[in-house]
Amino acid sequence: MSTLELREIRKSYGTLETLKGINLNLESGEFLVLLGASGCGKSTLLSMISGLSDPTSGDITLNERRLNGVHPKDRDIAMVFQSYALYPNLSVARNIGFGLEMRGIDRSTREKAVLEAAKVLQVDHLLDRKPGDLSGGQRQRVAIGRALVRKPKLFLFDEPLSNLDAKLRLEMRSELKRLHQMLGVTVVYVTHDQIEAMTLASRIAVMRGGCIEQLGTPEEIYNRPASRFVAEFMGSPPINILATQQTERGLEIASGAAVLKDLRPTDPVVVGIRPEALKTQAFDGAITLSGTVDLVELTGPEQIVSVALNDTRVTATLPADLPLALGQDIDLFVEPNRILTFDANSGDRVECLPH
Amino acid sequence: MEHQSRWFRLFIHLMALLVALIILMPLAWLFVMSISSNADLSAKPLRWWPNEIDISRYATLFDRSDNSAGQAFMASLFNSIKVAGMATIAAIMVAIPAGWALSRNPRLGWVLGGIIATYMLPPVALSIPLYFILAKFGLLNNVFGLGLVYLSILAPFVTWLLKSGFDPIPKDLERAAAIDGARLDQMLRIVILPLAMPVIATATIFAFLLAWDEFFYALLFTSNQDAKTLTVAIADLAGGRVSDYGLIATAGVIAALPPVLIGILMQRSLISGLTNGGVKG
Ligand SMILES: Nc1ncnc2c1ncn2[C@@H]1O[C@H](COP(=O)(O)OP(=O)(O)OP(=O)(O)O)[C@@H](O)[C@H]1O
Ligand SMILES: [Mg+2]
Repeated sequence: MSTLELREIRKSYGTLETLKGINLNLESGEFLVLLGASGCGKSTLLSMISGLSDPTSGDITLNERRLNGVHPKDRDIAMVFQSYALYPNLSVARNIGFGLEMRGIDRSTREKAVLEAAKVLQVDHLLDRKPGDLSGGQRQRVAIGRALVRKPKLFLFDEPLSNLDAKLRLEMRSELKRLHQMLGVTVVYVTHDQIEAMTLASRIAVMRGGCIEQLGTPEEIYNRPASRFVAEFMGSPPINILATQQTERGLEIASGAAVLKDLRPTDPVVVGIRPEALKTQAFDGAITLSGTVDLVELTGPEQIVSVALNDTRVTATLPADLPLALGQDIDLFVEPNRILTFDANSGDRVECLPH
Repeated sequence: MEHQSRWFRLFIHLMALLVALIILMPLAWLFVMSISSNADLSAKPLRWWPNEIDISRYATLFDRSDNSAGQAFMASLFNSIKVAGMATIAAIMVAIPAGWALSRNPRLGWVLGGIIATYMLPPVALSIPLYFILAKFGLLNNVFGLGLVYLSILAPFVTWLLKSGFDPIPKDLERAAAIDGARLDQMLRIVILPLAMPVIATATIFAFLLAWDEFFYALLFTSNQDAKTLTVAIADLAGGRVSDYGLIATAGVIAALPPVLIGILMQRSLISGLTNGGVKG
């Protein structure tokens, strides 16, 4: 069953078109992540769904009900803000119960619901405090509790974890995931952190300049990116993009560091190879890239190695226990089907099957 | 700042004391004058503390019998309270929605700029048109008329003050309240105004003081006990052939009390820091 449906959503501020026709279908219980660089229109799209602003054109429907022009409070939607947006002068309990209070729910029902939500988020011992007396993580929990307590049809999150420190962010991320699995709610979640997107999402919409560049499961987005932009956006360290040349021998990568014999694309292409696809062990059918070790960065579980190939470099993530010296010669092996090819001009991914 | 030396702390306290002295000296002198006898006041060299304490002037000013100086003075005191109080309350009532609207719609900023620009006009230039307007509505020598004039002075000033008080309150709070289902009045009352309380209190005190101390329009637009305010009444005391400086000082002491009282009442909300913690700073 489809819950949220966005059809051709456009939004202009003056002459500037911020959203250029967004189409989305969200199933009930889905966790959709809107991923994109700063300024690509993620928050704008979210505020359109929440009703805080209206689209210039296009339709928003939630459970078959058209939402255009409906006030935020009548949309059955809750939102968690990046800034938490807790009411500083009200107690935690009143903050969480504010939505129920405004809807005229009687006191005892309200208190029960607040306590229940607070228990789920483990803030039930803080109910009498003011938001100012809480730590960042606790504030974030309270903000989520405020959204949770109303049991809305749809949850909106606008970069909820970006104000937390690294460790807490990790914790809250798992907590959100657990919460989503436990409650089965429908979520639209905005972030510019690709790891957050990969770990949380049931589907990711990668946005760029007011359009959705690709919509798919995390696995699809990572392994079969629709474009060079998506490929470069996902993954850390980022994907290696290498120039190619057509020769009689086949497709030459990085000025002849390797040759893809069977690939003969019709248009100029670049290839993309993920750092973790590069191995140091030879295997059957592998493509070989020969170069010298340029830079080694140990992250703990693995080392990020930069290898100079003729006039370019590639990055490879290799096991940490592999002994490597700067300047040493190294052969990297990659499976042919892990080499992605993109049109050099448009950036779209092209399939150039061997022939 | 936890590791200041003893001497540095002493220095800070001494400086604070000095500033307090400079501010309080004239006030203390005013009080001393009000309880000195005329002989002590005109003695040469000047006595810093009177030989005998004379509180008869307080009795004179609090005297309620008909046609006495005290009755006129008390009437002017109540007129001042009425005029300044009405103008201040009205100005705050106008300025809360106006300041909030201006804060949330920066594009309307020019409106406020234009109104503030009228402050550049000297009051003399406005006095004649104002006089005619008040005369036309029969509001000359009337506390409401004077209050209205003061409102026109206070409202822009208070609006501007409150706007800068609303500015740092994050818009996300209003968005959250809207999604939570708060009506506009609930949002303002429960969420926004409590956060703006320190600024509202400051604005109230400043507005009240401005109206309380106003002299020029009060002198022009009032003529007798029906509407005459304290500033004019004190000037009357000085205007006779012989001026009793002690009496003027006594009137000054009494005139200073209501603003001080309001200041003390508002002190609690003046303590700011209420906005801490609701949003990530
Ligand atoms: N009220 C507004 N008036 C004019 N332009 C706006 C307004 N709101 C947003 N924009 C523009 O729309 C574009 C998208 O803004 P938006 O806030 O949606 O970006 P975002 O993807 O959420 O970025 P971030 O990751 O930094 O939050 C920006 O270029 C911004 O300047
Ligand atoms: Mg944003």
